[in-house]
Amino acid sequence: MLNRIRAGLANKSQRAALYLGTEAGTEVAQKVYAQTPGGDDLPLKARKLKAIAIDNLDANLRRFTEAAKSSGINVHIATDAASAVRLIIDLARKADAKLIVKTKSMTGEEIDLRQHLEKEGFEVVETDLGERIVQLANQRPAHMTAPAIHMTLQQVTELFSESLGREIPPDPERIIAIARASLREKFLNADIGITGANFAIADSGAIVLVTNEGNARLVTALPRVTIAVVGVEKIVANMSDAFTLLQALIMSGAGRKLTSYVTIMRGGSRLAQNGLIQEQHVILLDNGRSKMRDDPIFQEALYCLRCGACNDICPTFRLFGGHVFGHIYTGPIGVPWTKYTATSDQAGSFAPLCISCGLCQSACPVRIDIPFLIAKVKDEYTGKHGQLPINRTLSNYETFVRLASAVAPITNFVLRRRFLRRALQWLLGIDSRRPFPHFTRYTFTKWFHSHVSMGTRTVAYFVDTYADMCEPEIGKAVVGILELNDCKVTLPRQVGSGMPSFLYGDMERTRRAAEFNVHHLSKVVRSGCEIISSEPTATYCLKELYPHLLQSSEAELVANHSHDLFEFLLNLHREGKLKLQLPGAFEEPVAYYAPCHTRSVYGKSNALEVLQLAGVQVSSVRYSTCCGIAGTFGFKEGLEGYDVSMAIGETLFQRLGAMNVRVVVTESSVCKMHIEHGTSLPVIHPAVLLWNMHQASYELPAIARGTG
Amino acid sequence: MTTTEADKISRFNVEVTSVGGRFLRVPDLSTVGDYVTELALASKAKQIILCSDALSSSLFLSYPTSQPFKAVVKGELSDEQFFETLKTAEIGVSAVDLAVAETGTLILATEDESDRLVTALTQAHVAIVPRSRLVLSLEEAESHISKMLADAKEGICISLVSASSRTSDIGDMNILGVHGPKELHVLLLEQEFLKSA
Repeated sequence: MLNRIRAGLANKSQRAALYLGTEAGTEVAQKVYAQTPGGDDLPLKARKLKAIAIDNLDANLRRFTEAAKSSGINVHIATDAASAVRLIIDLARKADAKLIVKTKSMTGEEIDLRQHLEKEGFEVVETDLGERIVQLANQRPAHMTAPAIHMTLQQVTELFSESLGREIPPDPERIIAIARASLREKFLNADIGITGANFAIADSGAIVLVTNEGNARLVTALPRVTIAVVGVEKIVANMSDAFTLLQALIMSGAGRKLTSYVTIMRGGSRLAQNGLIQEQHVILLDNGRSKMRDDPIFQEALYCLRCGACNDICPTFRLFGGHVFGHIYTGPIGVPWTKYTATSDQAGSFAPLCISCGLCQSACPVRIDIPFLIAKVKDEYTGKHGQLPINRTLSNYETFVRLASAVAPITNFVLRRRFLRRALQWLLGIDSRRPFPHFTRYTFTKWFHSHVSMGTRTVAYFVDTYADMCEPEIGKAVVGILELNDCKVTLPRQVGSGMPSFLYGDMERTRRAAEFNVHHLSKVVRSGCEIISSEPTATYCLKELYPHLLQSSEAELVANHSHDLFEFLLNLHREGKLKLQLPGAFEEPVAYYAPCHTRSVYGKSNALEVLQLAGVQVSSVRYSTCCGIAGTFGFKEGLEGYDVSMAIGETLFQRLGAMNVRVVVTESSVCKMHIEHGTSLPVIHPAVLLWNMHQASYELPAIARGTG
Repeated sequence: MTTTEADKISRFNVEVTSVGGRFLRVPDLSTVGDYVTELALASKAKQIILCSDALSSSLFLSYPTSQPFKAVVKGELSDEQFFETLKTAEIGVSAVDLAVAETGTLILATEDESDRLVTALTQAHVAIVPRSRLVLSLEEAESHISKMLADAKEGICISLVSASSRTSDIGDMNILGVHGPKELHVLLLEQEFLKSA
């Protein structure tokens, strides 16, 4: 894997192509959801429908089979890849086929269909342009919906030139015209058309195909035989359900309300060439899906609509594409799908590329908790093959920080010495280039115990590790702002959120942290307190991770009563109770970066809204993925972490640099460290900025406090 | 016309044109004929192919033969002749069974692949949308589609066309006309079609 990471990082043209395509994918999807009335509600509606469809999978399968058969469709059940391939080869032989045209289909990829058919001597032509490009390049698709996303115009031009035997100019219009002419011949002469299906409709026996190019129309209209290879999870009860899911799929996958073409077909139609009725086959493929359905944790992976949005938004996928981050199913959702359609080891081999930013869940049209499923795969893999020593060390991050804080002067001294950092790299695998935060003995907790908090409404503060032991000013600012808003702040018993161990798939350690925190926080919630956090990762753990991990009513209770500070302040604002007395108007324009855990929990930034309410001249940086540091990931040596984290952050650093500001604002402690390291701009927590404005004592922060 | 009807048409217009389609309101079938003629002349098309629905097939009934293009109605030729013509036709004309304003979608139900291919193989697709067949939302359209499926005795294909054929598979550039029509022309027909056809 390290060799593939090294090659991926060095391949600048591929990186540029991947970034361009994936960023555009994420941005158009976000835009169409924002512009569509009810867009925010669609994912949960779609999720419910998929959950019902999977719960009723057996009944839906029976109904679909009956309805399809009564319409003259030949329905076949394939329990695994080999039996599906055998069925299709037999059908092709029976039809005396020579030329087979295909649409892009993940089920086709899953069973290596093209390769098997070619081995049997059939000419097989991929007709989706992207898939055709990767066929000419003898590659696998690098993305779930955009197979050739990793290739530049120049590379595509060279491929077509080679295939034609003459030079063609690097002009997409010319290439398309050439592809159109050559593929038209194939469509017109094909004996069999093979498709997948985006949905199969139980009550009517119809299948639904979604394309922009229109190739599926020709693949299904011209050949005398059509075969659709359909994963059993694609069956939904009726057309109404399919339409809701169709919208979710297309909005997330194509950033549009509908693609150019949606084809709903049932039974063979009369052929244009000779008036004969087309022969239609549907192969319902299981190949691990029943096992997935029977696993209470992984079942939700079956909700996947194959939109590719998780590929687009994923920071490491944007860097490496699906040839590194994927097996056949690419990107984040590729991990659980590989576990069930291939092997757990194959899934575990690329699962470490997930850095638990949580963004894929927020981009998923059915909100699959993909980071959780990936952590489970990591857990299983490391249980079998062992954990890397550096991952074991960093899973224990909180203990390390406590020790570092207890002897802060020594820690800070050691961490500033270059040769000692090199020794640390050699001993532990912590990259010597990564600056450490400044540790302090005068923790927030110590300060708070000598502080008397006053207010009529009692709230509980979940401080988390960094604000406690590295930058207590954040905690003090949070307490100050809450007290300004008439809140009495309490500090319930707590440990660090557990995210560092979750990142490396140490689910047992994560569970211990979750259980401790939920146990103590649920008590304060029951006493009528809301829980406030200022670290986005802590908010993510409280609201998303703990309820999923623990599946308990206490965890749900804690999740429902936890807020990031700024959500809490906005709620007060909506009630007309927000007090932001900020005598120190802040004239300096600032750039704001929304941390990924903020976006994955809220889908937006509450802090940004509060800063705007406070009159800060704040501009949000255009950036839709994670900054790259991902907790402790960016601390790991070289290709294991640091190099990847810096490559991910490159675009963010450039864009922040181009904003011509002297200060950046973000809530996340690790994003702060990463941005300061990558841009040399000082980064401040929004609570600290607001509190300083309140105290009219604002000074531009310096970043010299970092050690390393 | 109620305000709602005007809004619906305006929405349809916006949605069709926002993805590069051309939208025109036409008072009657003869204007459709003029439009298709102009399109054929401007694009130097030699062959127009018309679906056998009542609207499309009646477009050129009384048209002078002196035009530099031919217009053929499906059904007037044998399967073989029609298929050969279809391969070279530049413009395909069809009436739609339903259209959706909110998504700019044309819905065509076909039991014969030749009808579908008229809209799938040509460079330009001209769609005639009788105003009475325009619905507002996809939800409304869905009940019609379910009924079409339930009523169909034979194989049926329902095509939802919301834009021309396109791809962004090369360098993330949006290119039109990959396999199907590069141009989509949507003509909203005001005339009550049954009387005219």
